[in-house]
Amino acid sequence: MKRSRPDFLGQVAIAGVGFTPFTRASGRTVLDLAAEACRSALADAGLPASEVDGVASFAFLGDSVPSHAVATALAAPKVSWILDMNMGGQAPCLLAMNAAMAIHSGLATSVLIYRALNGRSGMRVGSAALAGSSAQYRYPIGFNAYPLYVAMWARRYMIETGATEEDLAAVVMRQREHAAGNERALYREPLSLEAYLASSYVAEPFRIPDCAAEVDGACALLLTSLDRARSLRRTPAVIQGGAYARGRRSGLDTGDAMLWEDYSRNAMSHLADDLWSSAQLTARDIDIAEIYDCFSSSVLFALEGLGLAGRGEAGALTRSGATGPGGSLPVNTHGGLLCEGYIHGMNTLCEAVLQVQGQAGARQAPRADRCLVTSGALMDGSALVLTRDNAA
Amino acid sequence: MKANQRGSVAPRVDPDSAAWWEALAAGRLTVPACSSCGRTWFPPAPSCPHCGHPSDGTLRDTPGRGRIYSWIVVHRAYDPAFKEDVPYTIVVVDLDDGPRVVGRLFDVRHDDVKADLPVQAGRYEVSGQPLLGFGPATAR
Repeated sequence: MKRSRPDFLGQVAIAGVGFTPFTRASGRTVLDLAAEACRSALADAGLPASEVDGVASFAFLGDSVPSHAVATALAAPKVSWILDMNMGGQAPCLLAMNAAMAIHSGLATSVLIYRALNGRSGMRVGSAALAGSSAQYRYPIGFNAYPLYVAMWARRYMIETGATEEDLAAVVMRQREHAAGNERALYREPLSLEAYLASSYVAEPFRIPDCAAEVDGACALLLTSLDRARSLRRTPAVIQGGAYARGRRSGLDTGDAMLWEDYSRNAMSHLADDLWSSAQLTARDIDIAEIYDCFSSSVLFALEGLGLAGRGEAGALTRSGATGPGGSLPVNTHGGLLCEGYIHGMNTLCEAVLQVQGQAGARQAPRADRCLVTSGALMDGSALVLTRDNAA
Repeated sequence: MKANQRGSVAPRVDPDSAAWWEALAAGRLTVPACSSCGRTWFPPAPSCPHCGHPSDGTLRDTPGRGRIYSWIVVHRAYDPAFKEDVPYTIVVVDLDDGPRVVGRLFDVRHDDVKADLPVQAGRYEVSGQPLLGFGPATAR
């Protein structure tokens, strides 16, 4: 059935973002991290905690704290909307869409969304045992970690498109160039092709630099109606388009792709049409892209799946420098999860907001009026188009 | 199948999968088949992912011949159990007569692994636990 444009789009804005430092060992509770990031987002937006009436987050295998605990830590009064999603990196854009719907429907007026975890000193998703009914077929044979599942897709993508390890390297190299301008990033030093190729394999075709930098930390965003956002401190980042898709036969859990038809195309290929029609824009209208990159390959998948590059051409585009600083399509201007740190893509969304608002400091892209943001790398995922309010 | 592998962790068998593991222990590779649409799938699940019809538990024997769809070579042991095994190869295989399955690859040199390479399923054992592996397919 043909759908009309979701009515909350163009009506809700992101008005503030906040962070804790990203570290290898925070020595703090997840609740403490979450509360700091939320206070920071409120201060950025110029709103007191007493105005917050909605809180939402996502957690993976119980690695975070519930939204009501964060509302308590902030001493927020009555909360009229709440959501705790049980998801991983496919969640951030979908979470923002849910919060925007709550605001547009009138259930809440000012919603904090956050992601907080001790992702390095606590449970590390990259090496965690991901439970699920299909795990019994994988763990006993040693097919037993998230990087291995994504590597299996990357290999098939390379088979289908002719992409090479140099293409994966280019993703990492461009993002290191961006990260040089980001004081929050864990990896800010340049990476040469030689150094990339000399680094150890984790699981072929992935080497250590292809994997997101696991960190402890939190980030948060404050959403409110566009009308209200216009009275706050920052230029509103308008939620102009949004989509989520889970392709057919997505399997039994995160690690189960036995029924997935094409490992060279992930959820981004399945949500592209919905995303662009919802935003009333096309891939060509985008100034910058912040792409979920738990692993380097997912940047290539998204560039092609969303039409920013032709099939099999994302590697060449990346090698050309176009996605680096000063390029025609800057991608992952914070250095991505590979360099800034793995807050499961919530920091990817935060970077998009900073760029659209013009608040990205040394790494501000010259033009960032229309920004694509993505969440997720496998069978399901979500994406947003953010636009600068009243941009020419 | 001669598989000089030491590492494993015990599978957590459930009511949907028990019969599949029993068949593998008996030396048979099977795949669930739909009593309504006739299609097969993997892994075992309570209903057919193609048509949604509830499974009646039918398992169909497969000769286990197939071709490599994708593969990885694991260099880092994500569980101490596999410390002695790295590097090892995991293959996702499209069976000639059925669904896509996953197993360990044995007896194929690293440089010879490639897409569409014909492989033959076999059973290997670690500490008495039968597991699914693949080796090179011999000429028909």
